[in-house]
Amino acid sequence: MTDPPPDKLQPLRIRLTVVFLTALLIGPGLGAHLSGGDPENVRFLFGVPALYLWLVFTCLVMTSCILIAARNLWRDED
Amino acid sequence: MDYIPHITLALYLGGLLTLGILGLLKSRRAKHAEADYYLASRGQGVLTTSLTIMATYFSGFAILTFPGWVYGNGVPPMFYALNLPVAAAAIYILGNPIRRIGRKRGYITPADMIADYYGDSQFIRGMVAFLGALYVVPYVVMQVKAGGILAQGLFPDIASVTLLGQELTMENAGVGALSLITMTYVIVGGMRSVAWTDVLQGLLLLSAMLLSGVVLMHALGGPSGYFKEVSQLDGQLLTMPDAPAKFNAWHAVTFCAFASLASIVQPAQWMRFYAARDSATLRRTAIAFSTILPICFIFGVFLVGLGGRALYPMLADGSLPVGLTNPDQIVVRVIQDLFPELLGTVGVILVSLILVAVMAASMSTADSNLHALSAVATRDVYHQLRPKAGEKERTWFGRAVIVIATLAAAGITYAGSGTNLLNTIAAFFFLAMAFSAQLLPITIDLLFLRRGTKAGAVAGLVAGMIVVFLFPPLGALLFGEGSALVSGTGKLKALLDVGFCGMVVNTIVFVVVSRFTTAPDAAHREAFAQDLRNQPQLKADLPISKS
Repeated sequence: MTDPPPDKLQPLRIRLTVVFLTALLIGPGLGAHLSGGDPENVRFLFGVPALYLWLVFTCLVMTSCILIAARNLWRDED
Repeated sequence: MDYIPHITLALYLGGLLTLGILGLLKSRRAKHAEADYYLASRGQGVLTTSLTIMATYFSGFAILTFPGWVYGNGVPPMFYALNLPVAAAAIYILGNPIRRIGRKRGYITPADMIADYYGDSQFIRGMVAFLGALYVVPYVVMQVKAGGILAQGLFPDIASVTLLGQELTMENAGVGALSLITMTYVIVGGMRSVAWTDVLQGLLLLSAMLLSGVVLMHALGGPSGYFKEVSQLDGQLLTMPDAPAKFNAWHAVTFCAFASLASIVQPAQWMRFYAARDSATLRRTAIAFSTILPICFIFGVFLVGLGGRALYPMLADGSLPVGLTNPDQIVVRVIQDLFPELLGTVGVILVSLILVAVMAASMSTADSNLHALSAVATRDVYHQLRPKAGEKERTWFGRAVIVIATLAAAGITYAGSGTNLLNTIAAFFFLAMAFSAQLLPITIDLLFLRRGTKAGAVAGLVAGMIVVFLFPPLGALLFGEGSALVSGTGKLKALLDVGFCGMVVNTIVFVVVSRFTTAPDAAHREAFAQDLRNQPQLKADLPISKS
């Protein structure tokens, strides 16, 4: 089995970059504001502060992008 | 049980010296003294590369400052951990081309590569070396000082020790002992010893980070008990603040995006990319970095900071509770109070291990920066002044730099806190990453774009550095605390990362000046691009990797 030619990987490269950067921007920004609620009305999910869960989710998304890139885009060359 | 901290510390320091000697023995077979001393003959595998990059990336910041921020401000500072996936991606995306061309062209320091591309200019080499020194020198001094403070924490009952008729505080004795040991293993084994000791220090640090969180959660009755306690905290601690409050979203985003990259292009990390054996090493390092570190933070020390706030609430007037003089002490306080009570002798051993791990965090950063400083002074200064010096002579010069730098760092620390010199170094330390970030525009240009010019690069670097100098605490030292300029930059600093601000100006100046000046000639750029590219082979064609 051989790797697909580089141009076939371009859509994946773009998709991963967009998802990674969106998570980086939305994670601490809009997403954190929406998920956490306000100080008088803190949101919880299963008893856990929603802001903490949002952080875990954002980090998971970014890490998944890296794992997918490492598996499919970053090829060993030496 | 009083002897446990002594035994733990002795085993740890003995282990470091042993690894230093093993590094020396292995380096005796090396053909190229300089490449071996500074880059371990460019043959470091996955375990060493990943742990040395992780250990260098984090100083005592990881286990003291970061949880302290969480203790003081709740969940919002935790979002700064999103810098970890960014740094992980950069390890491969920036690190692999750096490794590839470094191997082909025999580079050792960042300035070797940058000066080579922009036309072997002594000025640009000097600028890059100066920027590197602005990062590494304050780090060495502050980590040596931190090591002393931690030694005091490890032996709180020992007020002073007498050495050669001189009475020393535990902090000063710690500074002396740690400086001496760090200097010894860096001198004898170079990069190999530094990286091998980083493996030990990194493993200790990561285990301590995770373990402290797990045990605290257990102490509070498992996850449900833990989050029940946390849910009682003030709502301010569990929601995101609006700008310009501390840890607001704008600052978090610019910090995560740019401070992480600044830490990745600082001299010690850059040299680790040169030292990596192959691309697979850096690919696997990026995977390890992006998975292990977030787990250790998010499910480890962060939980200690947040749970610590529930266990040791601040007083009504906002001051710290009794027994806590600084939020940075929260991890140490939690483990010292809970572990022995909960786990008996095992708990005492774990407390000693974690305190040694905190010390390891400082030492691993100090040794890497000391080693990088030696390379920069030797390659970028001494070799330029004395081109005829051979590899062995340069390596010995590098060793002398390590001795002088260590003695200077220990001397400054010994002179005591509150002195002007130490305050100035502390001011540089707080802006070290901002200075390092100024290397990013030219790094991205020479790796991916190759449209900039030498004049543009120099102008951009100078502009970026000037901007960083305007921000507090350095701006306050230069222009006075109450000046309008410092007040303005202070407000901006609350909103955006300082390195990012410098980089914006740096990039604009770089682009504009490059537009009107002459780029390196086309053949030179093409040859450089060719060496950076290295067509990847298909996986099926590759030989089985040793790593």
